[in-house]
Amino acid sequence: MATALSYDPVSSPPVATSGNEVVRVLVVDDDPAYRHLCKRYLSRNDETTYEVVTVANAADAYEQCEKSDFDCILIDYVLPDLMGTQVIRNLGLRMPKEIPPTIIMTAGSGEIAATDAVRAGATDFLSKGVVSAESLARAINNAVEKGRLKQSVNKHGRDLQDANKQLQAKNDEIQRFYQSVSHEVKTPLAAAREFVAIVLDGVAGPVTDEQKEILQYALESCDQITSHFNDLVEMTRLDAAKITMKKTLGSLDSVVTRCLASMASAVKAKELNLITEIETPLPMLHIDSNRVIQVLSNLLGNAIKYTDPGGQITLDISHRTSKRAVQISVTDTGCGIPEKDLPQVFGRLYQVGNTGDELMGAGLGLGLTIAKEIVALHDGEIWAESELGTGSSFVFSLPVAQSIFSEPEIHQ
Amino acid sequence: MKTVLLVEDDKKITLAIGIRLKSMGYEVATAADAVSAVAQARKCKPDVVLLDINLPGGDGFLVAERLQSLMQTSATPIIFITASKQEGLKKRAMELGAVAFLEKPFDATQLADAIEMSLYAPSSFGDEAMQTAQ
Repeated sequence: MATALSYDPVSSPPVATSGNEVVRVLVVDDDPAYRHLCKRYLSRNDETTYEVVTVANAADAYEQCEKSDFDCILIDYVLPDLMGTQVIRNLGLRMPKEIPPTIIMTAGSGEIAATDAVRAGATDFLSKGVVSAESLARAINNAVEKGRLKQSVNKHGRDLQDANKQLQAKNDEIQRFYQSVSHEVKTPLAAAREFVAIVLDGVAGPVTDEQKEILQYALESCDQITSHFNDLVEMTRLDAAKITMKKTLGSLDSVVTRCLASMASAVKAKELNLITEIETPLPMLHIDSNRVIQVLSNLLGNAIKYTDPGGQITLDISHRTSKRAVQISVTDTGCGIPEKDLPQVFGRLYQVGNTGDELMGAGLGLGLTIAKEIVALHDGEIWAESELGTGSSFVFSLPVAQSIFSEPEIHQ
Repeated sequence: MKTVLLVEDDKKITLAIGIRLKSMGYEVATAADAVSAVAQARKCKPDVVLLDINLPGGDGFLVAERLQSLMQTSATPIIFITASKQEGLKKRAMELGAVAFLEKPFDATQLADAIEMSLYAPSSFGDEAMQTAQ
């Protein structure tokens, strides 16, 4: 029983095309006997209706393809003026869209022909000597089915690309929206704050002590709005940052320097003792420096805020070789956090309990939630340890940059 | 008496900062868009320019570049103000040689410090200036 030789290692079972379908086939062969044979074989088929067009040379083949669409093209391996594989290549260049599935037919047996056919992009390859009506139909049906599958996959790919483009555009639109809203909110907020400050400072006339106190509350409310609004906008930006975070290879040195510099005056103002224990050398990390600064600043800021004057803050950075990560911890001697609250400390709704100072404001805000997002985007971990009355320790880890060298450490 | 040119498109902010600056003893000139900002600067030759980055008709950076290219205003210190937390704005401000960069809302002390620094120590451009202005 003749079978079609397929180059596909996973041989696909023959697929019957549905009864009503018309499969248009183009046969390109200079041998009139073979052209006639193909026509005869395919007209005999009960399951499928084949519309067969035959041509004797490449030029006619091109003309036919321009005139109408075919579901499958059978091409003789050796034509008078050029190779069948060349015809396939030419069709690929000439036709505006993808060419239909092609089957190379050869008179000989043929590893060379088969390899050639594959290289030229033919869908299948047939040995003329052993072909029958059934095997011919089967080969054509298989090729048509393969062609349809390929089209479907390509379309899917294009659809995905389009969807992605739309998402990007939507994302940009949302970002612009948030920028705009941010500006619209912060501008009158800044104005309101300044007007309150102007009256409070006596610039608009004398103010009584009671009025001063009231205006001071108004001022602090303004500052709280600003802080929370900034956090809110930051959270929305972080969703976009999942696509736009800029990680580069770098060390924590500049991150630490910049953080400590910006915190210096606050530390001094509260007469806190800031100790740094930084291991050297530290390995290189793959980080978005600005974001990591954000995290560290947030932790240091909290430590400063929740530690009483005269207290101590320790910044500890070490290389955890076993975990292939650098660990950064900020420890304070503040009031601590109740154990039952520890798991929720990074959540959006967490609020510190009674701090005794009502004016301190509503809790830790979104800072820790943002910090957690950023650390997660770096594939790191963040957690808190605390003892009521003794202090708290906020720790996060950042994975060491993967490099082809086994020893990733670089001496500072 | 020293003159401050305040370039800001929001009327209320202009009013608030204007009152504050006058109470500090400065003469105040105002402009509400990029084009009139440059015109005003050439007319009243301010001692320092307080420049909002978001302006109709071109942003604050363009105004700064223009002022720096004109002989009468090329040495005038510039303080940028903005409501936006966009990264890169501060960097660009620094690159243009701004004396300071203030984020709204800022308080009177920050403003006073920034202006004092630009009037009396204009050579202290750069990173330190940026830090203290925060």
